[in-house]
Formats: sequence, C-alpha cells, structure tokens
Amino acid sequence: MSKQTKFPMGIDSKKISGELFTLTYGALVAELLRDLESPQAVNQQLDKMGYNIGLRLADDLLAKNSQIQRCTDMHQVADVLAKVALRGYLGVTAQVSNWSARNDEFSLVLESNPLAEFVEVPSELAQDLRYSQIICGAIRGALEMMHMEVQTFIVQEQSQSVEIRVKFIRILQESVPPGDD
Amino acid sequence: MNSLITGPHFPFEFLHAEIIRYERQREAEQIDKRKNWIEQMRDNPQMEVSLLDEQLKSVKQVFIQGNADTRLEALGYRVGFVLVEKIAKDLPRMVTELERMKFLCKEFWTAVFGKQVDNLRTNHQGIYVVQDNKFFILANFPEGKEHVDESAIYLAFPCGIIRGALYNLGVTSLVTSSVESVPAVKFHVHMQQKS
Repeated sequence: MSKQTKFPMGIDSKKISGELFTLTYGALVAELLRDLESPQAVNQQLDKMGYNIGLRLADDLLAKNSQIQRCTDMHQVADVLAKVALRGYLGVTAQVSNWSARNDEFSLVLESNPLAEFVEVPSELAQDLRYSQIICGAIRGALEMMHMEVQTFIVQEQSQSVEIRVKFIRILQESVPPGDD
Repeated sequence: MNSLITGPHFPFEFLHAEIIRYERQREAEQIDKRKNWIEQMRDNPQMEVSLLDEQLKSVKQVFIQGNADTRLEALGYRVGFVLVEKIAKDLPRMVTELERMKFLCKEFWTAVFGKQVDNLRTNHQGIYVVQDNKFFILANFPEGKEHVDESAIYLAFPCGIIRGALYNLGVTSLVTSSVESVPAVKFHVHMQQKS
C-alpha cells in the first residue's frame, strides 16, 4: 500500500505501519481500561469492535484474494483463516490444532502475537483481561458474513502466544423478509 | 498458499474507524448524563449532604473528560510519542527547529503515513503549515468538498500523533488541521514559546 522510498538506516515502512497499528491498539485498550469499570467490560467492548471490523474485513479479504473458493467444511475455513487472513492482516501464520471429534471445533495458535508486541499486561489484570479479544471478534464477524455462526474465545494468552478456540454453531440461512412478494 | 497479498496490510483504517465510533458514542452518553444531572439538580435543589458526596464524584466524571475530538487527539499523542522514538533512534541529532520539522515531513511522515508531505511552509515565527495532498486516512473517501465536515473527526488522531512526535523531539506545539477538499489536508503547527 505504501510507496517504498529510500530510508536512512533501515527504517522499514511495513514494520512501522504494523507498529502504528499495534501502538494504536495498545492506546485504545489502555483508554478502555480507564473508561470502563471492569476488565470484562473491556473484553466485551473489544469483541464488539472486532466484530464490526470483521464484517468489513471479510469483503476486503475476498476482494483481494480471488483464489479463495467456497469452503465446504471447517478444515478449509481453518486453513483460510490461518494461512490467508491472519497472514495478510497481522503478518503471522497460525497453527491449527486440537480438532474436536466432530470436526466442528479447532484452535488457532499464534506463536507470536503482533498485537502484544510491546505490551506487558499488569499481573492484577492478566487474570481477567483478554488483550487480543479483538481478533476473536474479527473472526466471528468475518465468518458471519460468510453465513457461518461461530463462537470464538481465547483459551489462553501468554505474553507472546495466544490460543483462540473457534466453534462452529450453524449455517445462517438467507432470510427473506416476511410478506414481501 | 500462493496468496496475492505481498506483505501484511494492517487493517489500521478499520481500527481507527472503530475507535472513532466508540468515542462518538461515548460522547453522546456523556452529554446525556450531563443533561440528566442538570435536570436532577433543577428538580430538587435541596440535596442531602450524604448524597452530595456521591454527586460530586459523578460531576467530576461527567465534566472533566473532553469530547470525542480531544480524547482522540490525546490517544494519538501517546502513539506519536512512542513512534517517533522508534523512527529517530538511529538518526543524527537534530539541532534546529527547522531540522526537526524536516525530519517530521520526510522520514516520520513516510514511515507512518506512507508518503512524504507535498508542501511545508513556515513564517519563521513558529508557525508551520504541512500540506499533504492525499492523506492516507482520507484516501478512500469520496473526493471533493462534499464530505469536508465529516472528515474533521478523522484528523484528530493524526493531529495527536504529530503533536506527540514533536513533543518527544523537544518541541511543544499545538497542531490543528484544516481540509478544503478531501483528501488534501493542511496541518497547522504552532510552536509554543519556551518560557
């Protein structure tokens, strides 16, 4: 997106744009923690924001990656999420693991979490605050645009790695407004 | 896995839009709270003392915090303050004010906003006008004069980034923005006199 111009001494504009994103997100979380009463409320707000982002990101992703075909099972969904979506938007690839017996539930494990690059969550908040909750919201929002209702939550979050659980609920049917023929 | 995406493209615009949405909603809530409080006070002017303490706390909450624009600006300030450190850490020391402004317009602008500024003007008395003819946040907006008013709030955050960056370079300033026609933006930087 950005024009590559010559930088003195190895300033990488791609890296900076990532840092701008990360720092902005950090400032947002800090602000939310000041504004809202509990870490749970912050998680909720982050999830909502992520959801709204996901709704719009789904369009963007399909527009830019014409090779993505219709997904017929959750394995394909997981593949696209891990290899295309997360790589394209956050610059990391996730490992897909822990499939449930019915193949409707899996974990995405991010080895390095770009959102938490400069962050240390204070120990008194670490219990309740889900710093990267916004990713969960974004996945949920994006899959909803694809007519898939899923549940997403963070299983565990260490300083640099995060495990996100995605559970398939149902396929959303195209709803025709009643009495409109 | 031959994706068309060449490198990560961080969805900053989306995040930024969400932050603005949140701040606006919050501002509306604050205005509501304020209204309610004023009405309550009008209804029963004689308050009990015990209630007064509680009231005082909520009054502070309601009145001290700024509106959406100032809060966005403060958020940007934080980001710019940290960002400039990362970008300037290997560069030679900048001595004069003009050098710092040049650094801002070249290296910093390119690194953060993706391109150099198109024009930098100054009256040599502490006022600088930085012009960017295609500012990245407004790049996806419809061009022309139609949406000038709506674009204002989208510039509060970048203003803060610039102010924060300059502050960390040792320049205290006041940054405002003006748009005549989207997506061209002029940032006005007023240096504050050192006392």
